[in-house]
Amino acid sequence: MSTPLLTKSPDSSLSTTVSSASVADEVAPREFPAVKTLPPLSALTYYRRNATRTLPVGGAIVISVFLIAAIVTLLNSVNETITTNYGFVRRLSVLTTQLEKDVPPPVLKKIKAVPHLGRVIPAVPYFITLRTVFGEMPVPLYGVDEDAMPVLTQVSGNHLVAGQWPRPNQPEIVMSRNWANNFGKHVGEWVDFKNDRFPSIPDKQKIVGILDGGEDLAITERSYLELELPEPVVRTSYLMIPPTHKELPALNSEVNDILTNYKQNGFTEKQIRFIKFYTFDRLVQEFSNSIRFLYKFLAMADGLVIGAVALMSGFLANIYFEQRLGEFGLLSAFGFRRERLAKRLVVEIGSLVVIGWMFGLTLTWAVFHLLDIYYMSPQGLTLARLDHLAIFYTLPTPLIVGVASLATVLFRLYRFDPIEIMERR
Amino acid sequence: MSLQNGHLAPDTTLDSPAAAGMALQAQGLTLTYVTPRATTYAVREVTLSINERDFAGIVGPSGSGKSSLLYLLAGLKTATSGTVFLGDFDYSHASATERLDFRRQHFGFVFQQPFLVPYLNVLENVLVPIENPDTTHKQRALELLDRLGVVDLAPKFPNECSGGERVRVATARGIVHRPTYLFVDEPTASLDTATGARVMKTLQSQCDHGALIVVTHDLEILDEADMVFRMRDGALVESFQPQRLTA
Repeated sequence: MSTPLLTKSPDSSLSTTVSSASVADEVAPREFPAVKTLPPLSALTYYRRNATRTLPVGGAIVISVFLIAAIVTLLNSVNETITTNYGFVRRLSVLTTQLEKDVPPPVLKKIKAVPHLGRVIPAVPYFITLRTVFGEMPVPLYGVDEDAMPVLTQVSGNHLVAGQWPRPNQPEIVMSRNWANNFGKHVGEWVDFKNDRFPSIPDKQKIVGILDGGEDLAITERSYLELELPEPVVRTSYLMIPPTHKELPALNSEVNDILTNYKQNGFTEKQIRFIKFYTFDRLVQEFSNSIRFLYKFLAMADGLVIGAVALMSGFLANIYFEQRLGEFGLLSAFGFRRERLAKRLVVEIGSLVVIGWMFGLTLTWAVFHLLDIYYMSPQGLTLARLDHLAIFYTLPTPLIVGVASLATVLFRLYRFDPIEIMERR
Repeated sequence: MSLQNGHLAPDTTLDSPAAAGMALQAQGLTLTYVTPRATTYAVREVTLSINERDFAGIVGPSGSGKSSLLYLLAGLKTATSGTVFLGDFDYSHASATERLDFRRQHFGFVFQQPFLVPYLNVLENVLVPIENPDTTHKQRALELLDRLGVVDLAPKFPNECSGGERVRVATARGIVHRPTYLFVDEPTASLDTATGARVMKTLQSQCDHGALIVVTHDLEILDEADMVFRMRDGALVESFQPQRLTA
């Protein structure tokens, strides 16, 4: 407990004591217990001492950023799911037909002669359905010859990490680990692919091998499918593999040129009308077109969320500034310029929205990261991570909230009369 | 340091030769409020002079214009007419920014309501007038609090202080930066006699290096004043030495 520098008698004048104290100060400064202080005029001091007031506005920003980023990331998961489960199309392209048993031989011969084609693997396709974040999704499973299995595995970037290749004429299958997790099955277990969507697919097949390291796919033996599938369903597709991965775009261009300019190549429209050539670019484009409306909807929802949060933040900022009018009135009365006070408010509000925005993004990243690791991946489900697109959609939140809050507060700051405020209190 | 272009240079001190003639002079000071019904004179044609190191009092009944005159002298309100000079600097007609800067550098205030910033502790509240307080400023702040008998409250927050303690903290805040002129509005209104005397003695130490101007209803606290100005209905009706208060 501090004690006066000099003992004052009841009738002593303080001026005397002060004079003596002044003299004593020149000799040695008085020692007082240490008192922890923060810079009184610092923006951060306000936040450190007013966490309960900061949290509502900061929390609103965090939640709105998280909502927007999460919605975009979930939407990106649709794209991610499709490009993952059809990812093998990054390594090769698929020539197939609809409503016909096979590609017309003249067309096939012409296509096989393109310079950037390395190998063609005939395959019998059928579809199985995988569970995804947006429901069931069909993916192709290919029946190929025994000698083509290692080639197809290697081209897709995989290795046979467990088990063996399917034997001829046996209900056996190898599939990527992700797909096995999706079905909840392991090597040696039977999988029943039948469902109402694809009633013609074979009965149960046994997982005899696991592929890993590359794109997801599943392979069975071709002769088994030719025996088991109903005859009208059996058709031949051709897996087109370039000599090197870099030559895939050139291969796709050459094949598309033949199909597009079929007349110059001596074919009729009847010959090519049912031919389909699946490439990765086409897959991405078709998907983008199909969900374009979703992104427009997302932009509208984004605007509504941001507008609501900005309005609420503006109101809250106004309320908190009203409660601090006395503080700013006092500072103005003491001679602090409006610009100095405005700068402090800009720092206060600016730092809050920036930190809230970053925290919201961090929260989104963490939630999706943990969700993917502990739930999605073990079940073979694909979940996108926070990416630049999601971050871009969240940018308007801190900007508009910051502007709305600052506008209301600065408008009042530059109009108030400090004496009127002091007299009111 | 001296007056520059009629403006007070920032580092003026009253001990420097250039500070000679730093009297506060008001000439024909008037403050009116015009409404559709009538024109109200808060301050009417007040002319006075207060020298450096003077202890001046402004007294009068409620509504006499004491506080309004104080605000005009301090540059907190703009006069409808008239001038206020500090030395050769006419700050009544200076720009708002010039008045702000001038006030910041040379004036101190103790308002009728202490208004302490609720989220700053007592020591931080005392340091509010100082942009970047260092250990020297903190030491002075603690010494002032000690003189006022509230140094133990330094780490506490305003809601932990009584009304009288807050007044003393506000008093320390008003003088921590050693202002050239200290303007005080009703410093002892909510204090007991002994505490009020202690506050007044601390305020009067201001006269060691500057002037003290006190607005009050309580004539007793002006016993040691150099000059007292009596206001009525916005006008300065008389000015006198304080002996007359007890006569």
